[in-house]
Amino acid sequence: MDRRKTAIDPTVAQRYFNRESSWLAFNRRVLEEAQDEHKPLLERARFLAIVSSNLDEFVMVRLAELRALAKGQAVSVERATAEQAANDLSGTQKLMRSLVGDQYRCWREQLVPAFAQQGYAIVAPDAWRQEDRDTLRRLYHDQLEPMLTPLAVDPTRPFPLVANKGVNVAVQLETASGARRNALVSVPSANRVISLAAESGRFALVEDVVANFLDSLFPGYRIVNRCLFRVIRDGELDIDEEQTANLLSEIEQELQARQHGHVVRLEIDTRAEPTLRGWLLTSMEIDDADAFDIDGPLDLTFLFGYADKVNRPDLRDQQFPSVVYPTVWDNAFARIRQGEILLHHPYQSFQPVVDLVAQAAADPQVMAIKQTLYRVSGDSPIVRSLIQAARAGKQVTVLIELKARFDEATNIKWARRLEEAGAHVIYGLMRLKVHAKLLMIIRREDDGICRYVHIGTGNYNDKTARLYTDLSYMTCNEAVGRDVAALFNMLTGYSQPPEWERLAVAPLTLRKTFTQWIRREAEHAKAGRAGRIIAKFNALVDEQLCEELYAASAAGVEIDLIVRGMCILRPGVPGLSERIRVRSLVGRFLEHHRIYFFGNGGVPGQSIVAISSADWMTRNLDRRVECLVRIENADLQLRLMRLLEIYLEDNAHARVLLPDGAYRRLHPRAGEEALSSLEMLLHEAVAASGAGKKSDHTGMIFRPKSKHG
Amino acid sequence: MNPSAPAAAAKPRARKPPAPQEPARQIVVVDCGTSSVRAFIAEIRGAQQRILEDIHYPVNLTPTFTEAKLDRGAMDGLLHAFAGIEAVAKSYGARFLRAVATSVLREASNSDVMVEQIRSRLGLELEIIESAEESRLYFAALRQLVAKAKRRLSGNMLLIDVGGGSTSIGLIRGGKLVHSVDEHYGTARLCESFRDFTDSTDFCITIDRYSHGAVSMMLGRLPSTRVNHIIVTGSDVRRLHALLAPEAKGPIEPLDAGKVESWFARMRDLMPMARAKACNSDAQHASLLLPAASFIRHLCAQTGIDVVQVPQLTLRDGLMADLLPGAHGPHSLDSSHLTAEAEHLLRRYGGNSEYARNTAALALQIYDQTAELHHLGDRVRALLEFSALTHDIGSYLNVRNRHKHSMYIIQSADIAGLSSAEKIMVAHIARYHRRSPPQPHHQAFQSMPRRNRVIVAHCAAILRIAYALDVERTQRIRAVRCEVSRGQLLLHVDRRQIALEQWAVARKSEMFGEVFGLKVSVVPRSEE
Repeated sequence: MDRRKTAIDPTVAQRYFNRESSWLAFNRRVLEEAQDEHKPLLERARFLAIVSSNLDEFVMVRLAELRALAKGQAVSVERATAEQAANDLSGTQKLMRSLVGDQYRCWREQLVPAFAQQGYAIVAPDAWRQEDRDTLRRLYHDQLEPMLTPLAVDPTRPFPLVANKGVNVAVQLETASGARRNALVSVPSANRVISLAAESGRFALVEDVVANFLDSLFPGYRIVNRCLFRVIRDGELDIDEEQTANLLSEIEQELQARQHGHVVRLEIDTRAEPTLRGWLLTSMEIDDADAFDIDGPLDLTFLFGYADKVNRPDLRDQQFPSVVYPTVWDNAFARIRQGEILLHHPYQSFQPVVDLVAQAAADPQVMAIKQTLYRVSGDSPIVRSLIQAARAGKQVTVLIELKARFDEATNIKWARRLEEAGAHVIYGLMRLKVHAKLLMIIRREDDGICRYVHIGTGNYNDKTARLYTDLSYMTCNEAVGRDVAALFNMLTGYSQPPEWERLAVAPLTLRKTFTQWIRREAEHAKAGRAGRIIAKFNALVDEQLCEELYAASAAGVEIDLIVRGMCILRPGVPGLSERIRVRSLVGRFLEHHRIYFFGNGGVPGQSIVAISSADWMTRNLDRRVECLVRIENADLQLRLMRLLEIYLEDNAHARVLLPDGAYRRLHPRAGEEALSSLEMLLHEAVAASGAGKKSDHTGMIFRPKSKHG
Repeated sequence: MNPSAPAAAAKPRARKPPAPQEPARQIVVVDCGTSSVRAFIAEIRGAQQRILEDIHYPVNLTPTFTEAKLDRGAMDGLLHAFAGIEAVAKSYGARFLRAVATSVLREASNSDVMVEQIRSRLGLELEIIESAEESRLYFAALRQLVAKAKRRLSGNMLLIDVGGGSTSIGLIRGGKLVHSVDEHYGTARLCESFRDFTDSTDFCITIDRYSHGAVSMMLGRLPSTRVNHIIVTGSDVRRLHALLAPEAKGPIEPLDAGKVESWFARMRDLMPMARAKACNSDAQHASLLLPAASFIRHLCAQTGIDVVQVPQLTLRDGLMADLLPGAHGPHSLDSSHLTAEAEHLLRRYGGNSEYARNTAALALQIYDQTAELHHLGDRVRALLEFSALTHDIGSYLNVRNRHKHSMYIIQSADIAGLSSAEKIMVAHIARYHRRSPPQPHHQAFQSMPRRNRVIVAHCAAILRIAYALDVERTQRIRAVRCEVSRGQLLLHVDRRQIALEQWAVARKSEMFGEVFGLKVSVVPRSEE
C-alpha cells in the first residue's frame, strides 16, 4: 500500500471522494482492462463494450439525478445545494469527456489495429468495395428499408420522440427549389454487425448501411447532410407508490414514459455538419455540455455481438469448467441436511441452486416455496420451476421486485405468469426495493417440518451467475430458517419484524449491526487487543459508515476493504484513515459478492464472518430490504476467510486506492511471485473438479492456511 | 441480530430419531389482543414443542374501548390478520388448535359478529376467554418457564398481566393459582381514554392517579395475603424492562421498582416527542409504557415489594403449555384451585364454612358412588364441589331467594380457572339446590347448550340430596354409603335418628328421580 504523504485536510470536505468521480474511476479501471495488451483481444473488446454499457447506465441514473439536482428539480440529502450539485455535474461531465475520449482512442489506436492484425475489420463506408456496396444495398432494400420510418420535421410536424439508447440518422433534405427541411430515421437495433462476406473477417455496421442507402426514403429530395446520433434519457421511473392502486400497471405505464424522459446526453458523429448538429441540440433542448462528439462508431456495446461474430476461442480467455458441486445432487434436501453448503459462483456452478428449486417443485413432501426475485434471466429455469410448483398445488410465494431498475419489463412478465399459475405474488414493498436474495423451502419430513434456506449475494439469475462472482449459502439450520421465515412474513405483510438471531435486515437492523461491529473492533483496539476488519463488496458511499471506519482506524483497527466500484472513503490519510487500505479488483468476472469479516478481538471462534446482499451504500442500508447472514459453521467461516485472503494477496489484478483518489495497479515486486486471485480461484476450481480431488462435504475448494487451521 | 452473540460453530440439526408412535403435528395457536394478533406455528410431538414461527400482526382495536364495539376498520384488520396467519399456517400444513381473544373482544358488543365472520370465512373458531382463563394460561406458561430456567419462586406470588385492554392479577399460593381478579386497566385503553391530555403534563399525572385507584381496588379484591414475589407480564411491561434493563436477556429477570419510579418521574414532565426520543421509540409506543410503569410502581408501593420479576412469556406460551402431556387443557385448574376460589367467595360473603364443606363432602360422596349412573368425569366433579361450597352464599344478601342470589354472585365473581360456560353452569347448580328445579321458562337455564343443561341437572339433583342431608346445618351426617337396589338409591348413614333427614330428602329428591330414574331413601344405621 502506498503511504505517501498528502496534503489532505481531514477536517473538511476532503474526507470523502466525490461519488461520481469514484464511479468514473471504476469505469476507467474497466477501460484499463481493454487497454491491457496482455489480455486476449476479444476480452479487451468486451471490456470496451462494458465501459459503454456502464456509462449508459451511469448517465441514465446518476447523471440524470445530478442534473435534476443542479436544476433544482430534485433534492438530496447527500448534496446540500443546487450549486454544489452543479459543480459536481460540471466536474463529472469533464471526467466523462476524458473517459470517452480515452475509450475511443483505445478503440481506434489499439483495438482496430489489433483486430486488423488478426484479419478482422469494421469497414467504414468510405472503404466499402463495390461488391460490398452491392451486397449491402440488397440487404438494405430487402431487409432494412421495410422497417424504417422516415420522420420529417417541419412546423406542422414537431420533433418526434427519439428512442432511448437507439442509434438514429439525422438528415438535411433539399427540394429541387432549394428549400431545406430536416428528417430523422431510427436504425433497427438488432444485429448491428453485418458480415460483408463469409469468412472474410470484414464487417459493416447497420447504422452505416442505413445512413448510406436511405435516399430512397425521401423521393423528390436531395440529401444534403446526414449524421448518426444517439440519445440517453433520464431512466428514473416516476411512480407515486402511495397513490398507486396497481403497482404493476403503473410501472408498465412508466416504462412507456421512460422513453420520453429528459435527454441527458447526446452522442453525435464528430463529422456531423454544424447546422445539423445545432438543430439536434436545439430541438431536444440539450446543452452543449451534454453533447459528446464521437470519433468512431456510436455505442460500442456492439462489440459484444462483434466478439461473437469473430468467434475465435483463441482470442478469448481460456474456458474452464465450472465445478458442479455437489457432484451428486439428486436429493438436494438430503445433501443439505448432511451439512451446510457454500457455493462460490461462477467457479462453482449455479446449477445446484436451479436444481434445488426444481426438486422442490417436484417433491410431494414440499409444502411451500418462498422466494425473492430481483433480476432474473429472460428464460429463467428457476421461475419455471416455481410455476410448476404452483400448478402442482404447492404454496408458492414470490416477492418479485417490479422496481428493479432496467429489469422492470422482464419482472412484470414473470409476475403475470406466476400469478396465472396460482402463486402468491407480491410486487415489492412501499418505498423500499427488496434486494435480499432469499429462498425458503418448507418440507414435511419423517421427523417433522424442515426448512431449507438459500441465501445469496447475487441474483437468482442463471445467466449472470456465469459472469458474476457470488456466494450461495444453503442450510436447514433452525435459527436461520426461523429468521428467514420471519423475514418472508414481514415482506408479505403478515407480520411485524421480530428480533433476529442470525440475520441482520435492512432497513431495520443492518446499519446498526455494521455500526456495532465496527465500534466493537475499535473497542478491542483501544483495549490493546487486535482490531481487524476485512470487507469485500461493490461500493462504499455511505458517509456514516465511513466515519465509523475512520474512527476505528484512529482507534487502531486494521481495515482492508476490497471495493470493486465506487468508494468515497479516502484511505491512508494520516490522522484520518492511516490504517485503512482499499483495493479494487476488476477482471474476468464481475466481482459481486459481499463478505464481511470482523476479528472480534482475535479470539478464535469469536470472529464474525457474514455474507450479504448489501453494499455499504446508503440506499442499501436505508432504502432497500437487504439481508446479511452470519456464517457460524467453522469450515465455511475458514473458507470465506481464505477467500478474503486470496483477494488481499492478489498482486496481479488488484489496484490500490491512493489518498488522492487515484488507483495504482499492483505488480509483483522483485523476487515476488505473481499472485492472481482469479487464477488461484480458477486453478482450485479446476483441481476440485478433477478426478480424485472431489470437494469434501463442506464444499470447500480452498484449503485453509495453517494460521487458521 | 445480537452482535455480541458468540460466533460458535453451527452444528447440523441434531434431532432425535422420531418415535414412530408419536408423529409430529403442526399446529397453530393464536392470541388476539388489543394491538396485535399473535400466533405460534409450532410442531409438537409429545412433550417436545418446537416453535416454527412467531407471528405478530399489528391491529388497532383501541377505539373499541370508547365505542364499545368493533368498527369496520377493526373488523377488516382482524380478518386480514387471521387470513395472513392462515396463509402462513397453510405453508406448514398446520391446523388451528386454539385461537383466543381477550378483553377487547370481551367488551365489544358485536364480537359475536366478528367471531362468526372469522368462522364463516376462514373456518376458525375464535374463543373469547375470560380473564380468569388468561390468568390460568399465564400461570401455566410461568410454570413451564420457571422449570426450564431452573428457577424457584417460593412463597406467595402475584402474577400480573398488564394488557392493552385489561389487567389481571392472579394470586399463587402453595404453587397453585388460587384466585384472580381483573380490571379494565390497560395500556392502550388508558392512552385512548386520556388522549385529550396527551400534549400536557396532565397525561402522566392522570394515568398515575387512575393507576393508583386501579391497583388499590384490585389488591382489595384479593384475599389478604403476604406477597413474596410479584411477576409482571405484558408486551408493554417487557418493552419497559428492555428499556430500563437492556442488559437483562434471561427468560425471567428482575426489574427494580426504584428504577421504574425514577424513570416515571423523568417522563412525567416530558412532552410526547421528547418522551419518544427518551424511549428510543415513537410517541405512541412511548406513551404505552406509562400505564405499565405506573401500575408497577403503585403495585410495589402498596405491597412493599422492591423488585418485580419480568418473564419473557406470552399468552401463546400458556396455550402451548396446555398441549403438554399431562396438562389438563383449556379452562382447567386442579380442583384444589377451584376449592380455594370457592372458599374465598365463602369467606367474602360470610358463609358457614363448616356447613358448606360438609355439604360439599356429602355431594361428592354421592357423586363418586353414583358414577356408574351418570358417567360424568373429574371436571364436573370439581364443578359440583365448587357449587356445593358456594350454594348458600346468596344468604349474604337475603335468606329468601338465597339460591338465586348465590347464582348471581357466582356469575359476577372473579373466578380463576372457570370458563364463562363453566361459571354459568356452577351458578345454575347452586341456584337449583333448592326450590324449583329447572323449568321451561327459566331462560338462563334453557339458553345453555344441551350438554351443559344435562350436567347442571345431574349435579343439582345430587346437591339437593346433600343439602337435605344437613338441613339441620349441624354436620350430624358426615358420611353416606350409596346402594342402588330395586329402582332405589339407598343412602346409608351412620345415624339412627334421621326422621328430619328422611323428611328433607323426600322433599328434595324429586329432581334426582327425574334425572336418574331412581327414588331416594335414607337408611339409618339401626336398619342395617
